[in-house]
Amino acid sequence: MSPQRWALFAFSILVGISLGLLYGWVISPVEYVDTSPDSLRADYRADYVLMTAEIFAIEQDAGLAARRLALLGSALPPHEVAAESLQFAQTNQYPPQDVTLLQNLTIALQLHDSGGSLP
Amino acid sequence: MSENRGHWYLLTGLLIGLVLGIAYAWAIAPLEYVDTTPESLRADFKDEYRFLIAFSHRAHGNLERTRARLSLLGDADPVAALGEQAQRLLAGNADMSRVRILADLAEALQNPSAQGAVPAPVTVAALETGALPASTVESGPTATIPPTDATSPFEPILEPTETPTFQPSPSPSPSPNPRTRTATPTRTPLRTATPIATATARPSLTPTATPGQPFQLADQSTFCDAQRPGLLQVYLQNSAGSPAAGIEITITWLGGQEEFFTGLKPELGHGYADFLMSPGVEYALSLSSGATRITGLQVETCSGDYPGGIRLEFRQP
Repeated sequence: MSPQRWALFAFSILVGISLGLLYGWVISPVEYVDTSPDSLRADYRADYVLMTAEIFAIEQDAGLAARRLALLGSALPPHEVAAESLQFAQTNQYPPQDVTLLQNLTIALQLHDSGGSLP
Repeated sequence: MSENRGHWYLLTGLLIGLVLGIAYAWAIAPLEYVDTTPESLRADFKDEYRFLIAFSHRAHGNLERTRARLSLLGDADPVAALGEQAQRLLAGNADMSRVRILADLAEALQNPSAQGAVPAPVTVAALETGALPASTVESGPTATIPPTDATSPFEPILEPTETPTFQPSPSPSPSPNPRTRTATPTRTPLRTATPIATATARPSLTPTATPGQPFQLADQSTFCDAQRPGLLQVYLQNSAGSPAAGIEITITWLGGQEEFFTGLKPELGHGYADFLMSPGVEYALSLSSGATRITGLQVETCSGDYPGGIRLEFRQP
């Protein structure tokens, strides 16, 4: 086969790859319909933690709050998950009362995770 | 390879490339969804998310915030979704307090004017012992944590490329699509931050009184339907003439008692509830924490020799 034909052959492969990627990424990408909470966007995760903090404010049960946060599937311990959301809330100017709720939850989870004494 | 074989080699190359491209896109480096929305959650996670929304509503009592959160789940009818979830819990013999939390929110969404009667998240004992901060106690007779402003907490979240712009917006309405939200961080604080962490109150799961006047029996009739033998059907309407969802109904009989709620079968109406009666047993039904009570409910035998049903209609004055 002549060099020109080899070049055309390689070019056709590249065109095929491009079409394949177009199909696989744009036209018919892999669809995730049954996702888990750990894939939630940061603001939704923060809102999830905020809900947990709101419930904690009336329940005052750090163990239950930690179990709810475990649903987020993070590798981090619950108090760090709460701390992340607290930081997110502060950065994004959540209302002070919401920040307070998150602070309270974070502190309570720190106490809970450390067995009652702050590190 | 002969030069006279034409251009089939181009098609071969194209197919090889296509296979490689699709394999890369689907198997080696598929699109990763790391920033998903609650709408895409698996059904059981959605249920947990919905329950959390309902439970947290007890804490903040802000219906707008709760509506905004529920809209994220993408349910066509959030009230029906709450009812269906409560029904599943009932069928699974789950804790009644969880059912009640969902039913309460369904009722609050159905009857927003009754917001003042959101179940108190703190016990009376907590008030009496002064376990709550004064500002919280002064906030209202139900001693709920005062609601935050109507804006969803995730309202000000920005896309990575967005720049925050401060626009005075006293009551921005939450957008159903968070990605299209614009940053409106200016809020009107409706409450002062209270040291909630000092409160040792526990949620009270005591049945709360139905908002407004007690329900009154408007109509009682019997019916014969072989498809629904011995069924006690209860229809509730609130003072506005709308179906009243999430109302607790208690049925008692000699040696037993059962609680159920309206709205758990949304396909039959948000103010509907039913109970299967046994022949030969006399039942009493009570509503509005016992303020309304109907006694002597008993199955009658129909001509086809099957137990008949009873239909009760209640209205709120």
